[in-house]
Amino acid sequence: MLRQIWIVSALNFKSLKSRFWQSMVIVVGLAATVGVMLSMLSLSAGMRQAYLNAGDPNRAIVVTKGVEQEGQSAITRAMAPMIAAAPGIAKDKDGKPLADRNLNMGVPVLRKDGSKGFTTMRGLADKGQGVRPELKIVAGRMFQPGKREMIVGVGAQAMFQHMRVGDKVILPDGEWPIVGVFATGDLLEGQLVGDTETLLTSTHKTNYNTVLVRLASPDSLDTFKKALTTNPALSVDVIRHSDWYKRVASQSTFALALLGYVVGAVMAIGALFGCLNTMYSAVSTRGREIATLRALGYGAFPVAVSVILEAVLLAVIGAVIGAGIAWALYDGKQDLFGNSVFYLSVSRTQFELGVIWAGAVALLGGLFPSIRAARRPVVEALRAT
Amino acid sequence: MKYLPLVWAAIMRKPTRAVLTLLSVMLAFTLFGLTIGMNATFAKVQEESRDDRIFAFARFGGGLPVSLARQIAGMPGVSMIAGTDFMGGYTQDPKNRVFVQMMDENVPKVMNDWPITTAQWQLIRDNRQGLLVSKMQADRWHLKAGDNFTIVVPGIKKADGTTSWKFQVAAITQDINYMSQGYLFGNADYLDKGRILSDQGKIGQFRVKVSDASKTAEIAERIVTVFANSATPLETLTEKVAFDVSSGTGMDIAAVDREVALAGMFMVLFLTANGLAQAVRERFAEFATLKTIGFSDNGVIALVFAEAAIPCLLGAGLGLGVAEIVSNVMPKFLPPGQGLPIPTMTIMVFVWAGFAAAFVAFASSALPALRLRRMDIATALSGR
Amino acid sequence: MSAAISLRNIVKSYRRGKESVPVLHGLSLDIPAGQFVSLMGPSGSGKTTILNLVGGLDHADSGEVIVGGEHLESLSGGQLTKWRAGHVGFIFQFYNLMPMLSAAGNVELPLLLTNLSKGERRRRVEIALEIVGLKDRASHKPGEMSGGQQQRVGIARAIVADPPLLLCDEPTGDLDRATADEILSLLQQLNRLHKKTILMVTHDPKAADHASRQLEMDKGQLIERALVAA
Repeated sequence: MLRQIWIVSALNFKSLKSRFWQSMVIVVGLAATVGVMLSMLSLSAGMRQAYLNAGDPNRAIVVTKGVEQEGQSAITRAMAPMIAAAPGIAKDKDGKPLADRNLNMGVPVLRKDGSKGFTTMRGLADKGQGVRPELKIVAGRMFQPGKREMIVGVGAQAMFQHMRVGDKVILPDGEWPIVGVFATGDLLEGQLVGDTETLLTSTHKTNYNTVLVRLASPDSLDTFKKALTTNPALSVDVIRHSDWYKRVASQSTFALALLGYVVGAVMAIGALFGCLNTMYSAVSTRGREIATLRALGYGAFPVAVSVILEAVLLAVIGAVIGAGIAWALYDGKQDLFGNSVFYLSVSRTQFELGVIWAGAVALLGGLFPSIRAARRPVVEALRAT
Repeated sequence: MKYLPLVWAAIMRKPTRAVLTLLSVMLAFTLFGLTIGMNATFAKVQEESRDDRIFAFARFGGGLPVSLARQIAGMPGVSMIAGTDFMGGYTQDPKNRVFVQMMDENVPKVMNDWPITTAQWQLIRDNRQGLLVSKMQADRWHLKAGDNFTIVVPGIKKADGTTSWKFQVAAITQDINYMSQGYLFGNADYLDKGRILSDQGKIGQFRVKVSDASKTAEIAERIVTVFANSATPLETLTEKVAFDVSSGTGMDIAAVDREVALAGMFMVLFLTANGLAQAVRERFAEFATLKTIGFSDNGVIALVFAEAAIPCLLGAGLGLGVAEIVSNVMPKFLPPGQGLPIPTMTIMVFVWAGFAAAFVAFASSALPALRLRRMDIATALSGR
Repeated sequence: MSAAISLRNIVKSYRRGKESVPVLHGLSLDIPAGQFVSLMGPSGSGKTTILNLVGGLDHADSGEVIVGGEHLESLSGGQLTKWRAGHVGFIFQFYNLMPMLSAAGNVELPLLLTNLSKGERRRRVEIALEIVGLKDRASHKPGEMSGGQQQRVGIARAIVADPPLLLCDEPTGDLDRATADEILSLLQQLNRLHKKTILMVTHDPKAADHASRQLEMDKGQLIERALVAA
């Protein structure tokens, strides 16, 4: 059986050259479909990737109960030590708990192309680097606590104007100089960072936004969480940092990804019709050839499979071309969405998605023609011109 | 015309192929309609946006002290200032997200182009808990005038410690173009007085009306400068810039729309061109016969063009129709406050679609037409 | 209405790749109006070429082609096309009908090029179908007809615009004896009753016998075989 399929398919592909332009209809259709879909998904895929990178399972974030964004959360000065005192937190070399009080605010910036945008200014307190050991200074120096100065991430430097060491950024209490540039390998790189307490004064706020802690071990989350949620003086949610970002990721990317998939689906259906058209045509062109094979004793099933295989092969070629174009145009490009800097992503996952999408279209698009090829009476096909 | 039966018979020679081609063209034009329609909406919103209004909000988030209004109103060139705020929450189930905009008493004067009557505005001034509900939102929540409507807003601290806000529907009002899912307007005082004391006296943003439209950008800059070193630095956006999509999210949506539409048309072009080339190839002898009967070169080419144009134009019309239907259904499926504009099938969209369809038909029939023109009748008749 | 045909010193060669194959070298022929002429000869002898030249489907390399007083050699491609509609009717071996049109639809084709109203066109189509004896099959498609019926439709199409000249290329080549006889009788009727000039190319001697004048092509030369008083 397998051998028959192989022989019939090989014969089929040999005759493909004579059906070149019709076959191109499938290739172009799927290239356009997959290309467009992956282009549109590049932002949401990039965002998702960035968010997933950003969350460290060894960290937990503490926010006001029920809020969905860090900016909406408020942890008071009274609450902060209670949180730091809870069990399950890793300790630094002095035995102090690695719990850092964070502040979040939006800061207007000027994009490289001159248009206005926003990024996030984050306040890190004394345990900031302890909780985030991945933060490295790559230029200039770290800011000094208590001083009105800040450091900027490499992503922010790439996307915005006036982000070099020595430039100044307008904050609520005047201009702060940039004293250094940092890298973390995640979302934080698109943000600006300063000292929490100094920022509090600058913004005339009284509450921190969130507390980020380094867990003693990934399993300590439950202990930590229990201690805080059963404390009647606190009304907080304790979430593993990676889970927090997963939630943020799905919320932010949902609509965007949906759009990409919807557009991709519509185009896929259009490509499907084109595929059906081509395969019906191919089957009728090969009518005599197929009938001869069957008269010689080749089964109907191998014939049907060869038709589907042809469709799938052409569709996959189209998908790879389309994915390649999307990759060339968009992958790695920096973009700004909301308050965060992202890199558009057309990665292997996207390629695989495109190929599977195309395969599904080809399967459906080849199915009915293949059934027709298999069912057509041999005698009729031999007689036809 | 009299040649129509001939063209129709030619198209329907392979009914499956004709139907599949039509469906494919239809889908591509549905996408075309949605994308270019969205661009049309952008253009419309841009056009309708006023060049004499400015948004002013806290540079660093949070609210603005209401007292700032008097200062800004006193600036040269400013004719009027209104304050607005908003509450984002849900009704009954956290899934049912609502977005209520709270207006102060000057809003009707600054936003005088909104389709809300003075009498309707007065209703929510007389009843502080009153709510003006636009038709779309009224349909969504099945509201009519007089109904009670309670919203839970977890992000705002109330003086009484709860998070729910009671409203009464004062009137159902006309939808506003660019608020694609409808709107809910409440009284800003209700929000302000209902908050905890420490949060009172603030407003979310100002809408500033200037008396001389040519000075709008200048005044916007001046507002920023005047308050730059104050306790609440301001950021401003003129309405024209605010409603310009390409300056918004960082994604040039209009460009993406065009790319998608183009990709769809490319796909269709290939399909149609191929189908037609094949059809002409199959029927070459028939075309030769027509020539022997006396059909001119141009006549035969016109037949082929019609064979391409009919599915293209039909598909375009049907596709735009489907796009229209989808546009009307879209708002129900999007989370509120999303701000994604609903595509509109304006005249320009139809015109563009017409051009696209015509271009595809022309391009598809170009090569076959050339072959027909070059045809040597004698050879063609003798059986290729 | 009839048309006289005159070919004077026709020279015609065909291109086969790089070679030039001469087919006719200085051929002359006169056919008076209203004559039914058959032309026989081996393949490649040029008989179809003569047909194509008389019908304005092809140009000779040199010489004159005069049909009904019109010098075809001096007409351009576009002018020839215009001339054809209304002056010549073609009948083919494989009928060359449009498979997706009904018999009436096929017959109507030449009339679409005229300014006749829809009603007038329908009337003439009915007449043509009546003459060939297929009035009751007007709405049938070629796929639903036998070979003989299809050829009748072909003939109806050829005469519907009432041209004075009919050119037939192996009209009975694909038909059985009995059907062929029917078709040939029909052609005779068109010649005698309707005074059409008919030039018919054929392989079949029995078919040639139906004509009033028989010619044969032999190495580029025309030979008179038989002539029956009209």
